Amino acid sequence: MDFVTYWNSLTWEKAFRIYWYFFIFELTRFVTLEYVVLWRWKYRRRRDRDKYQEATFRLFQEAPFVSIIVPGKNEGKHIYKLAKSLQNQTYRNFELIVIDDGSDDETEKICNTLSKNGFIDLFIRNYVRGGKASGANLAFRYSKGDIVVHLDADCSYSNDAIEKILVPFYFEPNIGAVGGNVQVRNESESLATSLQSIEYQNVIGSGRVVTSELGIYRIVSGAFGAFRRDILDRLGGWDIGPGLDGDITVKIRKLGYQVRFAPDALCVTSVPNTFRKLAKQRRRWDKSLIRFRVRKHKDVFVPNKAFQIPLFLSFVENVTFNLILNVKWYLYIVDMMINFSNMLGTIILMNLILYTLANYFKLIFFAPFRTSFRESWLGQVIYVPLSAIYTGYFLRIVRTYAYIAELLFKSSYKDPWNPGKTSFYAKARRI
Amino acid sequence: MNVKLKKPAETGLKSDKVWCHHELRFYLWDNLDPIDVFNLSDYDAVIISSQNVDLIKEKVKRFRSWSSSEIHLKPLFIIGSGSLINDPMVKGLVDGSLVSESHIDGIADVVRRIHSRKMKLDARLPSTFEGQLVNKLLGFAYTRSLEEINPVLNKESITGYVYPMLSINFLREEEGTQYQILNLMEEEGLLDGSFQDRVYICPSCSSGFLNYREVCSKCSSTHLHADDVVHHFPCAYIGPMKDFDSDGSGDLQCPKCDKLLHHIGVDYDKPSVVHTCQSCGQIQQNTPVHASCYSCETTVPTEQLQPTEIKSYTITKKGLHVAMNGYSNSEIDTDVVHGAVDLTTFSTILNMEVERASLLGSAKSCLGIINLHNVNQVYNQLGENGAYKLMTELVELVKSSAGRADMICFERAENLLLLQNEISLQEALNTLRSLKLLFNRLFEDRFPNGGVEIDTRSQLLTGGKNAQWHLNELHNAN
Ligand SMILES: [Zn+2]
Ligand SMILES: [Zn+2]
Ligand SMILES: [Zn+2]
Repeated sequence: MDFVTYWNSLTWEKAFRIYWYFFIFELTRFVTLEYVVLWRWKYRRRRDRDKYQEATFRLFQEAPFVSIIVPGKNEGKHIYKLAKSLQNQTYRNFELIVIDDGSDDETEKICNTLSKNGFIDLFIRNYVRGGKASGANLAFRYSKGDIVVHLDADCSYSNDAIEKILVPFYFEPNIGAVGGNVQVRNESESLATSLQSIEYQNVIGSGRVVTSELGIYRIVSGAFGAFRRDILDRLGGWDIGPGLDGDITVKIRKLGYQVRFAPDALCVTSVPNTFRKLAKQRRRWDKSLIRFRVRKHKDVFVPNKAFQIPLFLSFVENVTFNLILNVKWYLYIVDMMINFSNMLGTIILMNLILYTLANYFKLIFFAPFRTSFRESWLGQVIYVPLSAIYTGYFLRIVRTYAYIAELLFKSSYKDPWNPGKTSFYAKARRI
Repeated sequence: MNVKLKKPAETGLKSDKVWCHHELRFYLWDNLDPIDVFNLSDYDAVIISSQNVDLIKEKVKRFRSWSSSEIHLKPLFIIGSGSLINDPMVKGLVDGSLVSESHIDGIADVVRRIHSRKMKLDARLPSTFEGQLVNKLLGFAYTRSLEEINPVLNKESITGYVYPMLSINFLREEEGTQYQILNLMEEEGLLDGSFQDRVYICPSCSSGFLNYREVCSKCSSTHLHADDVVHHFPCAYIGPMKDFDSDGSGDLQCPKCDKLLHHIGVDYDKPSVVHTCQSCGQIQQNTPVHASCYSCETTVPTEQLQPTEIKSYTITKKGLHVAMNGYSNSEIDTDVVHGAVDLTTFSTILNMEVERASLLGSAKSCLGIINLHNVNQVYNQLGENGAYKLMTELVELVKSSAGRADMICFERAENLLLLQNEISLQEALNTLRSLKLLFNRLFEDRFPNGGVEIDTRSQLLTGGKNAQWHLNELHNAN
């Protein structure tokens, strides 16, 4: 009953003083701005329907040769299913190149068999692991396609996914890369996967529509991304990861090309099914923000010849809403603890309610803008309240930990995800 | 010197070609002598005299590949250049060498031993080629007291290995068949094999002379170019060696970051090798290996080559038994045919009859044979029981027409022995002629496509010779 009394006593002024964090960032950026942009996107999409049709027509008429590259370690078990599903694609003029990056399982045997039977066009095994970037680069080196599509072996692709990721190259001029829409396959496996599913659908499903629409789309997902061959040639392919997906996207934009998100180029992936595995994965992702935005590509903040406003904004947006907001959030908590310490519990609860309301709004009102395999979003209704805790606390703590570790200790260079031999050089060259 | 050389008086051959040593007569066969091996069956041994390895080889092969055991088991020696005998094939086929005439005493015992062992052998010539080879191989091993039949490496052989006494019976391109014969003999328990080596031979011609090479998995071209894959760690560039050595200077420079590569394992490594087909451009890593046959030019993936085990063989007890009693590739046990006696009994009675005949002096008895060529096919068609029924029927047929006190025996499933007492050779031959007609009619009526052919023979018993001698005479009288 205290809470109801409290609610009634709130004035707008007071509410903003206490919940400024929510109002400024969450409500403005992630709800209002996105909602407006989504409407604009929808409007333009309807308006350009014929143009899209024509782009599709030109794609099939020109039928560029596409190289689908799948680098990875110990992915053999997924390859047959992947190859089979690629055979059902609406777009057919492609080659499939699989790179085995030093697997220590049956991958070599499986892929040799598949390649002998025509499921794989080219299979190369590295007997010594070289890391994800070198795997992709090796596939790229021997690929022949005008467009290179990078896939993850453990994802499932909808039958028109390849077609849909290619159309943007014909829809707009000057497109350098197109990212696909990655959603969660094992949504119902555990609480962790359910929450990630909601997150993917917000961050990727609608979030990337928004960033793409604003021209600040920043990561062409490694699980599903298409690149123009001539641009990859100029860049010499990928650089050492982690975060190589974001890195190459920035480099493509630095060259002056547009990068687009294709929401209807759908694929689903399995996400970590426990919070512990999830934390590990996110630590790696979050460290790359520091490494690539702040350290390697810090030149985008410097006004010089290569300066581009969208790229600058993209970086500012990214750094603000991740790194700086993270710091601000702690400032906010400190502010609350000092000035409103007597009602801290109420404030936290109130915050959760506000975030949950915002999430419900997005779940319901963003639904028409999302593309997914899912028939209905109703199943997610019960997870929305937890989603606020998941993004507000769990992800934030993981992120803070990762940022501190990376800023202070450059720990991503020690990440076992890359072989030690490559990390050593990456660190020495400050990349 | 206890060497006594006598000039033989009874031979029409030039006497300096025949050396006598005690009871043994050696024929010295030199380069210029045009005589052929079948004219040499009367000699106890033959000594080949030649300087020419090829001629020696040819003569030895002609001897050993002859079908009659009188020729192919003949003791053979080489005189003169002893070093010539290093040829593995010749070495495996001759019984020794001597430097000069004066060493003849040293080989006399070898000749005697071979002869005495040969007397114990079954001298009949089996009707099938396989049977003849089995007999020959076992007979040779037995008379030479060979404990093992060993494979010999031979670059002139199409499969790379020879078993001299077996291989000489084949044309070079058919040598692969020798392994089938050996396998058959091992299956039948005549030989006991132990592994020595494995060879891969062409599936179409059995040749072991194969050229193994990597081929393009797409177009099977052999024109492939292999290149190391180089990974430059600092920039993650990875590609074939040629990308790093564009000017051909040998200095490796990264095409992506322009840095020079320094130390393998430190700033770069070579994680893989990639083959590029120069015919179709296909990039590949696991190039299949194909074998191309030098003999027939067939090219097959190595998985399709026939792995053939090369073994050393010892002769089993059963093998020895077969060497002495003959080989039949029929499974039929001839000892249990109703109305006939078994071979042992028949031989005993035959011996007794010979004794009786020589004692009486005037007594006339005949030993006859009825050969049923190709009858095994009919047996196979009839099955075991049917075959026994037919054999019983044949025995009945003989009994009903051959008169009194006769002894009948299936020596093997393919021939019948008849002992007819108190009968002239003419009468015996007449009986056999009518039996031949009856048999022919029976087989033509019942098995018109069986292809069975009958022939008969008969001889008077000779006093002082045993049953084995008589049987040998009967089989060898062509
Ligand atoms: Zn480099
Ligand atoms: Zn080829
Ligand atoms: Zn061949």
